[in-house]
Amino acid sequence: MKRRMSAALTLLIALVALAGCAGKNEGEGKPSEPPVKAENSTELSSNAKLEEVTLKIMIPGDRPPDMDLVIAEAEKRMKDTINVKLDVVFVPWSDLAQKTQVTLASGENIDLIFDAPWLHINQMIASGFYEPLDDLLAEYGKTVLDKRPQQMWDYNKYGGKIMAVPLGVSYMSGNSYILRKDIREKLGVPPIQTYEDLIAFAYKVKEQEKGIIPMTAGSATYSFVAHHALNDYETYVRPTHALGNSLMLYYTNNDGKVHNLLEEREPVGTWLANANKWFKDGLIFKDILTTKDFQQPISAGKVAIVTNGAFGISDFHKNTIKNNVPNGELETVTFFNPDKGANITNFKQWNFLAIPKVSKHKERAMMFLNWANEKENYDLLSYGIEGKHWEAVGEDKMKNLDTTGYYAFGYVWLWNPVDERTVVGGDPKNDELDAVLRNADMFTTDILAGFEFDSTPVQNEVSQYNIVDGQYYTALFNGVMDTEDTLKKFEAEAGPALQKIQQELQRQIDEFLAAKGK
Amino acid sequence: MRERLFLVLMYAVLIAFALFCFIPFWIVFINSFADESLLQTAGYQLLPDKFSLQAYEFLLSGKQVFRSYGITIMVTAVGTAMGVLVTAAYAYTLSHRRVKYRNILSFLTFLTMLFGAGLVGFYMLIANWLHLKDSIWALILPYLLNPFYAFILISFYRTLPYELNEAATVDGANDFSIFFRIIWPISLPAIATVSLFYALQYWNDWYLSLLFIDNYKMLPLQMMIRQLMSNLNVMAYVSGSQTQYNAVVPTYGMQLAIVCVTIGPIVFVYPFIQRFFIKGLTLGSVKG
Repeated sequence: MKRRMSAALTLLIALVALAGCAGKNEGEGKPSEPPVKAENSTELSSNAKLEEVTLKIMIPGDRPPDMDLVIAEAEKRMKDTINVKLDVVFVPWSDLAQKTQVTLASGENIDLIFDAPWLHINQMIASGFYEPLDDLLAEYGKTVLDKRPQQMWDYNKYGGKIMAVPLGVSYMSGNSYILRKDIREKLGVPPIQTYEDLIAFAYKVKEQEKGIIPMTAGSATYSFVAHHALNDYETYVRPTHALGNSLMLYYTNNDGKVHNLLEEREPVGTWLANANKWFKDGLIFKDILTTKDFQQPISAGKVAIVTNGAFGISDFHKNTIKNNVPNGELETVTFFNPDKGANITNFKQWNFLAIPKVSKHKERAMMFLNWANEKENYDLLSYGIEGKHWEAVGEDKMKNLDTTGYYAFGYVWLWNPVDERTVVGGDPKNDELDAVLRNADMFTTDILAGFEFDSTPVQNEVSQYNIVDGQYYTALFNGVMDTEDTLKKFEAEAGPALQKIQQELQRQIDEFLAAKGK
Repeated sequence: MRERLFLVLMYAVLIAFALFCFIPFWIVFINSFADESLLQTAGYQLLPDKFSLQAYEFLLSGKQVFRSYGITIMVTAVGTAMGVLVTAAYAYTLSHRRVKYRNILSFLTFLTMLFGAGLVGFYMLIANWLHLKDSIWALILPYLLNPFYAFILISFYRTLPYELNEAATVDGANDFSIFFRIIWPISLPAIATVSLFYALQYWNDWYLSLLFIDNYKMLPLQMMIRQLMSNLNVMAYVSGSQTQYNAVVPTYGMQLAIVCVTIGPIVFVYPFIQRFFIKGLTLGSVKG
């Protein structure tokens, strides 16, 4: 009995201790509340020292070990001006959609939150979770406005209003093919110039390099056919607003017409047939559909060519290949045309930062963003402490000193095309190409820039299409399945749905163009 | 002779089956010590020919792992103790003949098994009403009473003869002493089983911390590791952007090392509970 008593007592004490902890947390939270209400009045009446405010910022990623150091430095710099404390919450990428959705839906107090078209920004704006930013930007966000070109603001509006700050440094992503330089040199092939050269090289690898698979690719944009379409400067085949990356519906040129692959085969049909031929000829990696990380086989030394979503190769891959194949070396080849006006863009950005309606410190959040878009502060938050984590090289380049302590993740909360630095030591040719991507004036504006597709009228058709897409698309666009057969199956299972989406999209586009023409 | 042959055959089958079960574990375990480049080029092997501790070094390099271990162990210990106490007592009430509203209570319990308020309702209850965000209670309280485990215990209590209660009452015991001194000891097999369920539930949980813990210092083990892994995978997508990773991250070895590190401690709970399992199976079968 005594033992039981003492056990119960221990449990009780543990509970009390826990309750104590919980209680203290709440206690800490409370005192910060009253000043909040007073904030607006003080802010408007005088520009004297602002009350201290803690901003809660929710962004995806992993917390760098030295985050606290950087935050401490940032808070020190802000102390005498905007007097903001930072509470940065990192959400794992895989849980981002759910976590942000629940947080917003519950009305929890968040001051800045990451969102994106590929996540659920349209849905969240439609549900009224975000504050329109036009007035706040005009009043407190001069620097934020100035650091991004007009096109970026004009074409990233929702319902005519700026709902979130676009985070981006370019208007198109780079594209290239990574290939094994050591194998190319070993086979005596001169540097690749054209797409035909690349395929010829693949055939040569097949014949002469036993044990090496010539090519592999990823899904969607990184599939062979979609990747090839990126460099097609005759027809400008590109995905529509309705179906994400899918090319089953596509635009050509710059005329605002929607085409349906099932009805108008060319030129995509030829590319599909080519890919299928290569697969039958054994050029393509057999496990292409089941590889989780499609670039892993090349860094493991198994494959000679792979598609790539940038002009350069990340250090990660360069180091991995050295680790796995002692004399292995990678290089990229791109068929991108850097001439002025050669590429079409709609200036749509991938990532955004929004201020939720529930935030009690909207002005302060904007002031913080404004502060963070000043060059020296941008550097601090993006790259860490100068001299410890990185080193400036000129105005727009930098050298990493310690990337385990702090690494660049500006694309989730800061990115602007003016202040972003590139890492020194890259191929100068790639730097030139990247500079093209970052200059808004080098692009031809898409006639549909600023257009937003409202998918609600065809919701059923879209989900019906997506099921069929999931079944065939990646296989089809990597040549794994027979082109004719698969397109027939596609037609049978998703033909009517696709046609309906096409009609709805075309109707909305015509309306948009008519309104624009006025 | 024939019997002997049968015996040999039986053993062979059993050994084959045991190997069949054991080999996956072995592959995970031994390859977590394999060299990363070997894993990438040659895949998983039964006996790798190059070993390295890189994956473990990477995994255990931060202080956070140890802090997270502490949180998880604490949540599991406190959560299991409280959960079992609450569930056992609640189930006893529901199974007791003299409790007037037991059917209504049972119905309410059952109802929540079938219908929930959905994610947002749940989140608002914990975060906005109870203000448990970033509190260790948010990891414990929501799992305290699992209706399914309660029903397991109820059906066990129902097999106990009611005469025990009567005899104890005659001897002057009140309800508390009947429960703690008579029912609890003879229900140990069932309670132990439920304890194991609770321990596993608390140990493996990452979902509550995903929702309610924003303070990275309070992340439990599963969540911390989930975060680590998910961000390693994303590296593939952001490669080529300005993000730079200078070191080769042992992605493949990490996955295996993580499995070993997370299942390690909880595996040792099984031997202690096992004897109750077997007892539980045979108990009541021959009792007159």
